[in-house]
Amino acid sequence: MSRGRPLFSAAFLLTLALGLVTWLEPWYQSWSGSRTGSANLLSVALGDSRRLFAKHFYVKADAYFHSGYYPSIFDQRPDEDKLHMAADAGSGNQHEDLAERGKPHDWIDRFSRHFYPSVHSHLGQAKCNDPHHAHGHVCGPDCHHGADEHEDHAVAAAREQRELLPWLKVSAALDPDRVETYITAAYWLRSHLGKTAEAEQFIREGLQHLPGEPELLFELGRIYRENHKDVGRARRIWQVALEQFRKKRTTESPEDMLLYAQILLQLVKMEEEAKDYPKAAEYLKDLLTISPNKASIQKWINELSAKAAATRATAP
Amino acid sequence: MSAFTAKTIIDFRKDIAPIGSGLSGHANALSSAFKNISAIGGVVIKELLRRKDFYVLFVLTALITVAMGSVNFFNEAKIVRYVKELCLLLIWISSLVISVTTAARQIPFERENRTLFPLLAKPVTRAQVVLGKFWGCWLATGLTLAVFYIFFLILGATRDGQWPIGPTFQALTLHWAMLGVVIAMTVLGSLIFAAPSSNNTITFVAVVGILLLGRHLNKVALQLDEPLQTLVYALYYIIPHLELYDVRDLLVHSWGAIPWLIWLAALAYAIVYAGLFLLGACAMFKRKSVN
Repeated sequence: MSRGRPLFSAAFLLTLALGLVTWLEPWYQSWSGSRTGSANLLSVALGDSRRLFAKHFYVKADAYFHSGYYPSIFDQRPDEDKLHMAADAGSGNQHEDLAERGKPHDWIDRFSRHFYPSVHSHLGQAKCNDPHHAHGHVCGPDCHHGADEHEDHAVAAAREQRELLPWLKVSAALDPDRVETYITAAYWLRSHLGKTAEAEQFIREGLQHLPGEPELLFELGRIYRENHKDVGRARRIWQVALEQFRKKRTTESPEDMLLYAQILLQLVKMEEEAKDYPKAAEYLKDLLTISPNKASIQKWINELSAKAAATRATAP
Repeated sequence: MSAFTAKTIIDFRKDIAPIGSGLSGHANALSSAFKNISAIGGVVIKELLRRKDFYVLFVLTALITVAMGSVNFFNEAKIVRYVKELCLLLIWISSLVISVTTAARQIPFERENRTLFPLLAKPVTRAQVVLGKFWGCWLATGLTLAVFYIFFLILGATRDGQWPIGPTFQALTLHWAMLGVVIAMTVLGSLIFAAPSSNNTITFVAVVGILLLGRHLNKVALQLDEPLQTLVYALYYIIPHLELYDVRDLLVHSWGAIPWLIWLAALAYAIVYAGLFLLGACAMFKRKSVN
């Protein structure tokens, strides 16, 4: 009896486990929280927490943009959606530069500033090797160098700017739904590193995750317009961007309003260059509804209307 | 300096190099003390070479760094800073693990294995045992650091063709000085805490805490009300600021070398703290029963 009891218990537990598995397995497969459906290893391993890491790496890219000079969590930090590295990237937010570090609080603070980047600097900004300059000196207008030395600085600057890229790529891999990551990376790739094909590829990756995203379409249009000089394709992409914007967004937030204005302005310029003045005026009329500078927009519309009339008059 | 402190230091000096230890004169006594200390230190280095810790950590560091370095980001083959940052992070983790675990087990294992008695039966003082253990651990971690940093330098040079010898040398020496303080702290901990495991944990928590928060304690203090503000600010002045020796960001972002006088001052700061911890360890070991 005593020998049979463990065997019986084991058999009972095994049966129970098998019974449970036939019920649990189908439920788990259909459960919305199951990660088995994802082919992405990161998403399986980290789940939704990967978005937190994605933010961290995006901020890390901004820290690299400042050559390691970055406030800690105990200092005043910029908003994660308004990082300075994205300032020229064309995304809608108002971006902030980092505040300068104040005076040291005490001698340890003063001494410790020699051991970490404590001077505000941007990636690509030259850091002199002149021994007469103090540690951490950043070249400014008061610096007196030979022309060749500044040329070396320019080469070094281009070399440094690529260092942002890994963090942006990792951030996008962790959170593929973050638009700003694609925009910022594409901006640095095409504007500073001459990697137009890679920028386009990255934006297209973003569009796979976020189909019809107006910001991504706008950036793609810029690539075609500014880099490939393919005006026709850029026009079509911006028209789609405008259409998608009207479908998905409103002009309530300042960021969205800026994006809308940028799309319209690019289309106006393009139509004006193509001498399609009525079409350009039509876009300007849309812009007039949101622009705070209505007088100048109206003046521009009048000019375009006059040009259109002149064109009609000269036409055979 | 109080009479008590002066007496402790004189006792400590006599304990390191007792004049009556079979040799005549202060010079001979000191020479004998250094021989004893380096002999004990040599055993620790041999122990580290025999154990697999360093090899495993080095291979892991190299593998992870090389694997991460081979990732293609936008067809830019010369991106280097993220690889350097990762490599330095792994070097810091590995060196802390090696130094703390090696230092924490030295005296407790000698006691457990009862090899401490024959060691002390020879003309070796307790202070020499403590200093010998510290010296051995510090030299051993220095050797491992040298290997790690040579790997780091070669890795960086293969990616961007630059050889920042001066800044790397400074980073290595500062890192080594910081580990000196950590090892001294761990040796003292091994005489206070009951087991190496608890000593390891407490030292790791203290070191990581200082590395992460040490620089910011003053800012935290300024936001507190009295008397907490004074207490936290006092703590800020008392703790060894190990974060000073973390110059990874300067190295990664090519900020160039630190002024050499500042570097020297940092080394002196580390020597003072390591000396204080060792003084405490010698004083504790002198009073401690060995059986």
